[in-house]
Amino acid sequence: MENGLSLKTVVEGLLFVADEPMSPEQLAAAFPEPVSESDLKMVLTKLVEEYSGPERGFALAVIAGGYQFRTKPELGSYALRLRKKAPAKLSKAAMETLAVIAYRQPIIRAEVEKIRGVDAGGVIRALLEKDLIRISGRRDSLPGKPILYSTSARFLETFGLADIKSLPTIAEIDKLYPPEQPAPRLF
Amino acid sequence: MSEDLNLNLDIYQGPLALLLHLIKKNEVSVHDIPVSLITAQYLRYIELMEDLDLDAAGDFLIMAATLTQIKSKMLLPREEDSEGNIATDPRLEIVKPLLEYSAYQAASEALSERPLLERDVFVRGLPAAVVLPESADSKAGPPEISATLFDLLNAWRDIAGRKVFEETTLSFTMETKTISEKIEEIRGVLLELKSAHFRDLALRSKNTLELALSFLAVLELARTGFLRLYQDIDADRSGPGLFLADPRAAVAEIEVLDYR
Repeated sequence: MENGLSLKTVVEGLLFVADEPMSPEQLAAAFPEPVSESDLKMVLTKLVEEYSGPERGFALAVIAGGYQFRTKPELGSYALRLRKKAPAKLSKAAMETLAVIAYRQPIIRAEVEKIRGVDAGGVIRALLEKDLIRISGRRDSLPGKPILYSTSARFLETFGLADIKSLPTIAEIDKLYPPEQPAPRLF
Repeated sequence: MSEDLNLNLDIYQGPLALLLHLIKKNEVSVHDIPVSLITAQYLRYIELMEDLDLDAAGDFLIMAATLTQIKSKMLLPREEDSEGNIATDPRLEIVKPLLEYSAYQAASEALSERPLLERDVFVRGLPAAVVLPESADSKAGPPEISATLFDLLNAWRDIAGRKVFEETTLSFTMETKTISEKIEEIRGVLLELKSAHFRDLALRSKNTLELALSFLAVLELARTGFLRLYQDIDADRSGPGLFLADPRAAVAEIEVLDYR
């Protein structure tokens, strides 16, 4: 390392300037010399640990396969006042559609509409514009080869997910709403 | 735009949402829906909604028909198979979609409760401030616009569609401003204010023709180098490229270049 800097120091600095989650590959590309992946992973794990202290205002989070400094949720209201900007907002229709797409991806529009019982065209377009979902192909087995939708990397960033598998499963959520036995006050 | 008006309330999310709302309100189980009661209440809501928006009500009418059909089937003697009669319960037709929908509704709520970026959790970075313009003579400031003509036209479409012209009086003398007059007007505004948002400039117009002239005048002023178009990248990171059309955020900024 140049100037007697440690790998950890440099990685910490790189994460500080980055404006999106940095994958180990992206970080490695910032070095003139080859960096071993295992060294990088070790350093990243160490940093995650160091920043996880309760006294910190932010933490190093694993997001969309990368690493990113993020403020703690508890101080959200302070950050909002500082920013003087309206908080991110999604309509209920958008959230429900997003949930259906997140859990059933890749999914075609007609299936989304069947589950929600309403037209989804406008909401899907809005989600595409917000970059929360993406077109991930076409279903060749159906006539007209309808477009398939999946969630995007931006979705993972927005909801603070390391990857799509870290979402709680429908079955886990379903435990609160057992489908087979009638439960009082279900909803 | 009409979507926002009529679908904001939870129960108007769709027929399934309304049905779940009624089931919850009456404190009954999805597995044992009192069809007659729920159908009556459902139809009352439809009547209300038809006054508001016929299109939305159309979605709901299919469910109303289904409910009515189930209600009439319930009146007929139930066929019994060897196991019992649950399999032939006509209500099953709506129970399955209701349960599926409610599962996704729960999933959506679980998703909403996560710490949300830009609402609960914030990240570093004002990308616009980090990337400096390359040319040496340009002042430090937001980078020059990187949007396409399409983005600009989108901004135009948004303003043209959004603006509500309040003038209702009949006017027999048509005020015909020329583009050069409009250019002078905008120059005047900009010399005073130094910078302005495209939207604010455009909204000074009294009618569509003038709005169009404003747009052309801005283009002409940009072409001749009197002003520069900037995009405020920080204002909205939620989408790709430029969001001139985003009404929430200050987006297009027009800055006067003072050559004297």
